[in-house]
Amino acid sequence: MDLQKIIKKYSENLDFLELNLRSSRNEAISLNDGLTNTSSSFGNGHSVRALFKGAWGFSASNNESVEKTIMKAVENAKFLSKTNKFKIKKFELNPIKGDEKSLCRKNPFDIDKKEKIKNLMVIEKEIKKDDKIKSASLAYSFSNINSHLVNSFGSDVSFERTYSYAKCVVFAKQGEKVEIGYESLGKKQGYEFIDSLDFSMYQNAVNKAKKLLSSKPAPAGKFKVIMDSIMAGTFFHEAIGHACEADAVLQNNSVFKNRIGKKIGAEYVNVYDSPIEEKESTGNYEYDDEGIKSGKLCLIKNGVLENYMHSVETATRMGVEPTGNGRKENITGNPIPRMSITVVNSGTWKTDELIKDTKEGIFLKGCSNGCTDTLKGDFTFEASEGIIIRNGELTDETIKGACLMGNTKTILNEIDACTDKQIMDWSASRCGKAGAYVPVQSKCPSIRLLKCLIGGVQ
Amino acid sequence: MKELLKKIINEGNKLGYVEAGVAVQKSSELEYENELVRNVKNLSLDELRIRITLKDGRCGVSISSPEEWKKCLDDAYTLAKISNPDKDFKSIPELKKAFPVKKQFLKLISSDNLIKFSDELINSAKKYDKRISIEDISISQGNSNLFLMNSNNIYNNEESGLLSASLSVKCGGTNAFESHSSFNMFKPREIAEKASELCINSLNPKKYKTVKTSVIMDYYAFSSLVSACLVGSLSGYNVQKKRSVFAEKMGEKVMDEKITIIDNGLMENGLFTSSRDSEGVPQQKTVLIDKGVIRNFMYDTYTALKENKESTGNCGSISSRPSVEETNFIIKKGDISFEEIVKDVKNGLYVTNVIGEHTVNPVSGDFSLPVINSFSVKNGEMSFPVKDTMISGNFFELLKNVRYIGNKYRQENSVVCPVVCFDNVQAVC
Repeated sequence: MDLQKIIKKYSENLDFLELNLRSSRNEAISLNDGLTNTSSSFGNGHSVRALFKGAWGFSASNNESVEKTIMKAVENAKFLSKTNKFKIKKFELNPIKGDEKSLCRKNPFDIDKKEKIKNLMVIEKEIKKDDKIKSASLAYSFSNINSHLVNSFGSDVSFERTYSYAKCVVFAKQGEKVEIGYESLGKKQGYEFIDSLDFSMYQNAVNKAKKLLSSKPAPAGKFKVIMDSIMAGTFFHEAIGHACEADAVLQNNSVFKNRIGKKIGAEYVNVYDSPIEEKESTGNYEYDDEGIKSGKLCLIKNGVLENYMHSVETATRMGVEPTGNGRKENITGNPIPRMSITVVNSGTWKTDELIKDTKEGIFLKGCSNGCTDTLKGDFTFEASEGIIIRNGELTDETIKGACLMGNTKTILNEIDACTDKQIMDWSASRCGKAGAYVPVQSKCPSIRLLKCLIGGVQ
Repeated sequence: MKELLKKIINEGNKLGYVEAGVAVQKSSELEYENELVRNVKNLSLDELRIRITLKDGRCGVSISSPEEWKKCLDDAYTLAKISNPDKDFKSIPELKKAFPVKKQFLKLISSDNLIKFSDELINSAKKYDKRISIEDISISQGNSNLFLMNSNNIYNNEESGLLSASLSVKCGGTNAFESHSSFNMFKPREIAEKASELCINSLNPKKYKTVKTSVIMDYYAFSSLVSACLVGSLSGYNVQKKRSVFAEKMGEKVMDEKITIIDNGLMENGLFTSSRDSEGVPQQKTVLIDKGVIRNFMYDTYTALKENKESTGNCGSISSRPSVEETNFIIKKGDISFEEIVKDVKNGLYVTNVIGEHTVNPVSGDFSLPVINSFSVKNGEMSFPVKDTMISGNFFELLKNVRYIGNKYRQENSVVCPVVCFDNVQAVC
């Protein structure tokens, strides 16, 4: 199928036409206490968006012809143009040609599935040597995505990406108490990623669950807090990142609206969104889902808000260049501004010095989940474990269920220290927005907050 | 589609037990930026799922589109062959007579009518109070036609159509959200007015205090906690796996006697009402908790046969095994009105919504959640909206001591529940 030809045929009289063909293949193999669950999926489909007299129309299908879907998208745009008050000004895009190749060295779909199950069985056996671990779920999953995007400005961009993930959930039991330990890792790689794994991820999950058995519920109130690099990654993603997405700004839903060039935090706060940071990161990409070449984007420099993250549409409307943050999960939605790899510059503190300096407080590690209300700036997320700091030392008192709450407008001023090492968090994290999930990761130092609200039960 | 499924079953019967399902889905949606439609969107998608289980319980699943059925069947078989045998597997479901269901079915409405619907939503919100502006709207409708067939002569075809609308309004730095999904056409005005009223009431919030207090949980807040940990703890699978606080507690009193919980797959116009579940077992009404006492858990065929029981019609999907999911999960209402509950609270919090419910520990029930659109209650009256406040505790402990259960229902996704009032909940500020 000559996609350029098809685009030419239908784009007459339109402001913009974009066609995206995608095929994907997935495989998931899991082992739940000896019981296997195996599944595969494969398929292809396409999505089309059309801009007519400033109005968007979108259509996607896996059971209709490309031409029929184009006609449907154009029909949707024409329908909307009749009543529409929301109009996108005509824009120009430089044509981009590109082909991002998969980094995969060992195709996970070629590897004997039996070998994968055997691997998991060996790990399960090892995990269950610990008599507190009563139940475990282990999984590998692999996905391969092929995308071909063409638009009426002459762009023609393809990519192939392969992702491999390993996940582990263990349940530790002591008397009536049951606690969960969860760990996951993911890379934009093939089966070589699975080959590279040792037992440490699984041991971490086991340790976490066991530690929680003897942990006390988190105290409630305001505390001095040190977040490890993993929790800091989620913190910057939730507290800062979402408010820097240009669609939230345009919808008047961001606390950072009209704040470009303004000081919003302490001067050693430097935050970037960088899809090119680590080539094996699941958040890495060379071209975004609009075919825009990606690069490292500075969001906050020395405490001053520098840039928002843009899709083609938000950039056009705000009169700047697209930043390569237009992402989508699959054919069912339009690309919108999204994060990729959240990068925070390191500071000068050594971790042990920071703990010593903190005197009394809580050291929070890892992070399970978080969410944000960008309008009000309220965010919350939960540490997977916490340790009480007393007299400048980590005690052996561990806490669980420490949920942190704060507001974007004020929290940045509470950061008063960053440690001297950035650590890449390879967890298999995904960020959900408008119903679409995209892989994201982070690379941060540990940070300290002078005052932070923790919702505990004590 | 029936012919295709017959072909798949005939072909697959040579290999093992086969279950095949096709979903044909059409949907359309209006995307908004604040109050203006920015995109008209439609989707047309087909999906085929095949699950093959060999006699010794080895099982494989493959998902693709109906045209790819041959490769899909091959893949499922390949995966089944390499899987581990499972001594707990006995059989896939047998054909049983389903109960009649009462469920409306909405046909796709035109884009014109969708726009009229949204105009009314916007206008009603603004009419409620001039200060209100629109933060976000989403209006979508979907029509799905599901087919299912298995080696044991089960065949089912069910069509359904759902209209969903949600609205976020904002005013002076605060916002509020309201939504509704239904198989019936509904009036947008009610959603708009509820959201607007809540938003206006939430203006100028004040600090609350760190204290143990009474908490009245409204539908969104209560149903969030129910789905975050209570639903899963009554799944037969989690109980068998000892991943539930209710494991080995059948027949015991685990909650306040004011609480009765029913999973009702046949509830009239329930969002999860259907004649059969995802593996073709008739859906039913199952009493899970009766006046605080555990009477039953939810099962699919696999988990039920493991205990020589019958499935309760709670199979959520054939893409994995086991797959136990709730249908319409009902916390039975009480007999006291919301106004009477408020009147009886001397000091407390009225919590309409929480954020971050996915941080709740699904097994232990520990939670600490920021509240939004919530109010201080003083001497039986709403006092002031609160800010920067969290509630925390253990949900299963709260359920042991319930002060009041409201007398009205509302369905949020799968959870159907009234307003509930608890004492001694930790508020953190």
